[in-house]
Amino acid sequence: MMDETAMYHQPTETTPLRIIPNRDNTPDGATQVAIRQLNFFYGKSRALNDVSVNVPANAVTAIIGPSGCGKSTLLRAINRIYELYPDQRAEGEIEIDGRNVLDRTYPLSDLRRKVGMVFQKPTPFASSIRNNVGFALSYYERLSKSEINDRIEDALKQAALWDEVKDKLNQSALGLSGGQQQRLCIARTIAVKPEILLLDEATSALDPISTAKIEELVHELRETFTILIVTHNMQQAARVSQRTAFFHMGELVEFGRTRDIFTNPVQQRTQDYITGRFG
Amino acid sequence: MQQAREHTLKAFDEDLDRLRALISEMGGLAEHAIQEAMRCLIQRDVEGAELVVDGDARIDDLEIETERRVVQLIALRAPMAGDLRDSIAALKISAVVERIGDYAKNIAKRVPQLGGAQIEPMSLLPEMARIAAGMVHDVLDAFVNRDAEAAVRVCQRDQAVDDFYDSIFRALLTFMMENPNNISQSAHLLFVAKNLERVGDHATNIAEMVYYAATGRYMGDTQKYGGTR
Repeated sequence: MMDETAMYHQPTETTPLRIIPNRDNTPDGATQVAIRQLNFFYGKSRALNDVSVNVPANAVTAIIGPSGCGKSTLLRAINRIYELYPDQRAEGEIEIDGRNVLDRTYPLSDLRRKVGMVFQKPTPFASSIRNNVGFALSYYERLSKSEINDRIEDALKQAALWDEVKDKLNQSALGLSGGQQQRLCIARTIAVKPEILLLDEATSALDPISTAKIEELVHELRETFTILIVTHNMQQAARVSQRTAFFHMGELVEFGRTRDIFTNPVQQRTQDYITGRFG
Repeated sequence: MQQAREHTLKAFDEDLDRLRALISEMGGLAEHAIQEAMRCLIQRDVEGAELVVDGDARIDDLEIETERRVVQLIALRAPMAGDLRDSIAALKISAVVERIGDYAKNIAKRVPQLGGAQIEPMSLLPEMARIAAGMVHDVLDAFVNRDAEAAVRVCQRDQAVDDFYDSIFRALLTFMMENPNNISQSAHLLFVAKNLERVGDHATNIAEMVYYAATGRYMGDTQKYGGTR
């Protein structure tokens, strides 16, 4: 397992590393998603205001903030899902692997392959468990039947679902429990081997045991993927992430190590929010 | 970082306020115990000293009550950032205040054993005790008010307590050498002086905890000693 501290210099106790929002949001170590001066509009209303942040590779970054602060909008911008809706547009840059993915010439199918997304409600296709995971695989890659079966098995194992479904791969995915369906969606997403996983409130509809399973999964998957997780549950952000970004009214208020944000945030607004003093 | 705003959940504020009140009450009792033990020592008030010894049980009870409430607060409210630091500080401070209460009890226990006429170095002890008890009082005020600057000022007073200890130590040593009849009483007073010196050290430790709780940073040596060391 990769030691988190190996990625950057360990600050001494007296000089904690402080990442100042909108100035130098660059943690030491590799950046997977470089967001620069991102503005997002729903019609005329601006939902993100000059957001700049470097999301580190192979780590979990949690995005927290009150409803309407822009956290889901940020995820929607990263995978350009907003393009499906009229009147929504993004300005600025989101650089992944050296290319601005907001550029219209950047092929959406490439982006979809690099960036997987899991939503609040499990969204299995009304088909077999096998087809749910295999569908995107056969869409993106030319694979033999046995290769596809291997990849389905790998993905289900990575999503910690294999043992529960291996004997009923041909049964409908709709027969699974909510927690299992959500893990199936994660399996479906990671089957095509994306680089980045976006989880938008992926556990908010699940019971605590299913939630714990997904959190454990996220913890395991961070070695392979760069994960961004939007959550209303601050305990969850504290449990699963290494970095936390706090948004308020479309603005990135503070971005830093999760352990600093939850023990000693720099900004008053962050302190008020995480201690439950937001009026 | 300010904690001026109230929690959206009022009961959370009540829990934190109750915790501060407990620490404040413990501190008040410990401070009073030191002063009362010293008064009994000077006035050879054996009965009063017994009350100080008995009164320590209340401080012990409050420490347990504080621990219970902190554990409950962490389990039920999941405090974060400044709230979390305050809760942990309350837990640690209660243990230290309990220890300060023990020192006062130790001093009171010596009252019946002193005997004989007062010897001269005794005259320095009340002033030393006044400073040490004052540090306890002020550092707990600093905790209740989340006042890091006040905590720093408390630390800077510890040097005076240490200086008193050194003077008293030398004076008692001289007395013991001059007249072996003084040895028993001098030895007792030496322990009293040592207890007071430890009270000052503990107040300094609490000040460091208060500073961290209030600021999220550790107090540097320059702040602690005011650049005198």
